[in-house]
Amino acid sequence: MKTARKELEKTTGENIKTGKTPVRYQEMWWTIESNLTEKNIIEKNIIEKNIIEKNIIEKNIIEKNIIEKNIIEKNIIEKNIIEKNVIEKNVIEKNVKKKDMEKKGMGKMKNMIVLENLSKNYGVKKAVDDINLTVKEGEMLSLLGVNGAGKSTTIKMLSCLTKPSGGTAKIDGRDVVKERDRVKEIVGISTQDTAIARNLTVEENLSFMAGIYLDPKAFDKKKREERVEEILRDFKLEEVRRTKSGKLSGGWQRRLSIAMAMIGNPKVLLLDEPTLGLDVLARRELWREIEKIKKNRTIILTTHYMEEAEALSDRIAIMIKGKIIMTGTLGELEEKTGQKGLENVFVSVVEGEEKHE
Amino acid sequence: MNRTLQFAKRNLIELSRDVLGYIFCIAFPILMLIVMSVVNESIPKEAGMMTFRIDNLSGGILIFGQTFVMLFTAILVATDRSTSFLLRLYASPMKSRDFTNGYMFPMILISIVQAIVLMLSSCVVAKISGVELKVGGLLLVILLSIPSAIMFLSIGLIFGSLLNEKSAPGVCSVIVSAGTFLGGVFFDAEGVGGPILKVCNCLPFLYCTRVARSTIQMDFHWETFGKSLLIVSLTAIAMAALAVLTFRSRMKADQ
Ligand SMILES: Nc1ncnc2c1ncn2[C@@H]1O[C@H](COP(=O)(O)OP(=O)(O)O)[C@@H](O)[C@H]1O
Ligand SMILES: [Mg+2]
Repeated sequence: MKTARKELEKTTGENIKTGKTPVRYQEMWWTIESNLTEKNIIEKNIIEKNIIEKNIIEKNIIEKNIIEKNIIEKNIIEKNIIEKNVIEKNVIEKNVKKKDMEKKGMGKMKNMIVLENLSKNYGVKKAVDDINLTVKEGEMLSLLGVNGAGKSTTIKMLSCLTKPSGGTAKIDGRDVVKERDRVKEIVGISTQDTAIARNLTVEENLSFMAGIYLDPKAFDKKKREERVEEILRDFKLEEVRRTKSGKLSGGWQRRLSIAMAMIGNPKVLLLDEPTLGLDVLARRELWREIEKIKKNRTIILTTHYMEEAEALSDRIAIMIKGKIIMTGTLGELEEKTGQKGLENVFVSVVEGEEKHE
Repeated sequence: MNRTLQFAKRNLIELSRDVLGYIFCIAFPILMLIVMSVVNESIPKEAGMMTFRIDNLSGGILIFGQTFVMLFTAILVATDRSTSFLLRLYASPMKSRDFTNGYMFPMILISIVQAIVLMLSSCVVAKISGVELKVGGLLLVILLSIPSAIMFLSIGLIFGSLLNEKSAPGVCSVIVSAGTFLGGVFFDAEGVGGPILKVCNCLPFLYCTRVARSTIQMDFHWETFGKSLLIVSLTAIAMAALAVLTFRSRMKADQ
């Protein structure tokens, strides 16, 4: 009402006291008042409309967020299902393979790698301490152990990179000390430190290895090039073929390193910590590659990742402080220790050893 | 042999991607050739200073260039030894002679290319300064500088096998300086005489420059040419043998 009075005062030029509108101005007063009321209603309406609109927008945003969240959740669930399926498939495949092997008489399969009382001392340090191990043809064995367990030293002895201090190691019946050259012909190796020529491109690295490992009598230049192409395709390295290998990411370098080890199609493949330092995705990717090259090949893979040993290997050898404490399939290890899952098995074996001392 | 060539090819690719290699093995010697020729122009004729006249200078610069081939051999071998790549190759069917020959062949090739480029540059400098160079001598020195090249790259292989990648370049720079100085590349060792000449005569470097200079001048006397070539060749053979032995023993020790 105050505004109405001010309005009236403005139009009449008279000072009007509150509540006492002179009769002569009564009509004018009503007009002013009704005008003001209308204006207020309109303003109120506008504000209300704004509020409603704001609410609608907010509701929309929330709904959109909910939908997006749902989509993400769905994706995650789907991804998990897929991963679970892959792992399950692997397990099933492994079981089938195992059954196949059993049918074929795995027991009668040839012993491809035989270590007898193998030792390596560095001064007083026993890096590898009197180990015995047999790997059958076509089998994939994981050498599982923490850093410093002696895994790399074992791999180095098998690949003729270091001489054993005691015992013997034979690969396909060939002694790693007395028949070095014949061992080198059938063993492919991917060392723990990625061994690639960093200034050479991916393709040049592979061509070089092809020249070193493929017998020039059986493989002329053209056949060697074909083999390089084949490996580039198999390991999906085509997109980086002209990239200098030193510029590749860790995952790609490992993949190249394994591809280089595979160029001569070796009977025996030694992979020393192939997924060390890789992120989860790169590791999974590499597992798939390793799965592919398992066929008809004897592989020793060293790792300190439980899930890697579990996912990839037919048998597992647990190595602690230079000694192989226990060997067997996951099932056998679980049975021996009365534990479920490799991690529990491993912990119980380590604790058992510590008590032993 | 195939594996040697494969490894040689790899080394050649490796060296060809190092810009410093071009700078030190080719560009720097050419620069010195030009600079010293300019210096020679400013020396009064009466001084009788012949060391920097192009028919003397080009032989000296050739040896100067070869000392850098030694440096780069040492760097390549020492760097390779520090990588797991070389270690991994020890597990391959490669023999130790595949390694040593695989290092030496590309270096010999580089030395020959270096000699050709330097002799062509000398021709240009000679034309400008109005001194006559014998084409036969220039062609012949490309062939007869191979023994000294083998000597230098063998020394490089020895240092590369013994030292790590950090200390190899430093130690080799000492040899570059000593070889250049005691080889009489930039001063007249014979003219100076005395105890310095005695030291020079006990080391192979002066004989290298003598062979290169006298071949370019086509001066085939026993004292200047024959005797020097014999000494350089024998030293080259001894150094190469020593390099093979050193690399082989280090290869075993590295494992
Ligand atoms: N060249 C060497 N000289 C001395 N000790 C070594 C050498 N190589 C390995 N060792 C020692 O041997 C033990 C086993 O090492 P390694 O085989 O590399 O273990 P892992 O690969 O399982 O991590 C470690 O204690 C390590 O310190
Ligand atoms: Mg290791």
